[in-house]
Amino acid sequence: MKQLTNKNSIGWLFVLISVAAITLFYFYPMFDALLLSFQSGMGANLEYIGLANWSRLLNDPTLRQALINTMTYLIVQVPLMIVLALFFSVILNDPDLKFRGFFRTAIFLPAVTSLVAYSVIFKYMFSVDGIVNQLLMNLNMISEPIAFISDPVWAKVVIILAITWRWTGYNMIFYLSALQNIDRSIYEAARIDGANSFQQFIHITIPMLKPIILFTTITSTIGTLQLFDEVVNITGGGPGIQTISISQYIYDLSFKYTPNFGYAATVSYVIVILVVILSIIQFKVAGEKE
Amino acid sequence: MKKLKKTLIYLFLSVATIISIYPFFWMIVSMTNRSVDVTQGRQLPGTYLFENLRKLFDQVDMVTALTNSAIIAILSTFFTLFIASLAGYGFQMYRSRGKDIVFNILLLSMMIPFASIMIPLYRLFGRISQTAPIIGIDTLAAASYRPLRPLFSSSSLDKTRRCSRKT
Repeated sequence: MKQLTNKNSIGWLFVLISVAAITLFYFYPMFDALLLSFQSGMGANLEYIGLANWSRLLNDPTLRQALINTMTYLIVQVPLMIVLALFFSVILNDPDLKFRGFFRTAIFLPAVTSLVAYSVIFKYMFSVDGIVNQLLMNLNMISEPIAFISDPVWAKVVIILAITWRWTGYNMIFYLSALQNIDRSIYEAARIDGANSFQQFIHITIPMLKPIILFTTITSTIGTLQLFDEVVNITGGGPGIQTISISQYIYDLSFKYTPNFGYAATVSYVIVILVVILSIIQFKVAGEKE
Repeated sequence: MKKLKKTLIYLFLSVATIISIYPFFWMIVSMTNRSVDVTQGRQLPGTYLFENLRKLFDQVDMVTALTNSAIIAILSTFFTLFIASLAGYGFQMYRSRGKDIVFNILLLSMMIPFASIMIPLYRLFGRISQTAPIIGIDTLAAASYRPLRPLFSSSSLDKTRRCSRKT
């Protein structure tokens, strides 16, 4: 018995650093943000003002726009990317495919770029006299260059395309590694039973990958809710506030406008609440028991 | 039919590859061009590579920037490996009910969006570097905050993988 408790406490020693660090750098700041949401003031001079920040949330047009934008990115981009990544991973898992390694590397490559760098490149590629416009004009698909960055709708499209470009390969890698764990004989059995490749995909691949799909959906959702670098670098939130994201609004509130940490912390709790709600929905939809 | 399908797959993959790689190609080409040409979408390599490099080092303190990046990369990699492997070993080899509960609580921290703790962290690091001025705020942030994430992505992946094998 004594040896057992001894062994147990050695185990606690191993996890001690991470527990302390995560408490200090995640849970304490969460708590601090909650306290901050009841305070207001300039910079470091803060005083408690009760629920004023929370009621300000309800009548904040910029926040409403930021929420609409972020949800638009989320609803369009995450499903698009997940489906695309699944598609790539199934194709690239075929052992008969030639140049498999090359295609995998090429499609994964965007995931190594820095967020700021690729955003700037996309901004230039989609500028009025940029190469995308030149290409479309040469193909006679448009007669006049499209002002991608300064049009509210096109700017969103560019941002969604950019994020998809950056993260599809990254998510594909998760699916590829999961696909490797599926026993080939299941597919063989299905083929003998007369299932075509589409039926195999729907009835074998998707159910087998479900835990990973759930994992990538949740991480992508969290990632998109925190979207910052792309919006700031491609459009700067403009035209006006038509493409601003919640994270950028929090940043602007804290460091760009007159610093108001209290209200910024309140807005940041909106993201927390959204993440919790969306994760619960996704767990429910996926029907996970655990 | 089979041949057509194969061709379509290769065609699709080739297009995807071009889209994936093109921005890299363009980045390298643009390195050798003037800004005017870059904004106009020039596709051919130019002769301004060395001038651009000279301008870069003149206008921006690249040496400091690179040094800072290197410090952050090295420190955070070191702490990632150290803390995450220690904790991973502890949670796996010394399993107990209490530790499983703690692990699940820690797992919740993955759901915390960075934006929501950005301001408190900023203030926290500010306070720490005020009391211990030798440690820069950036070094602290890099060395302490970033290493904690991989612990969970690897362990939760492991968990999901175990689930998928079970089904």
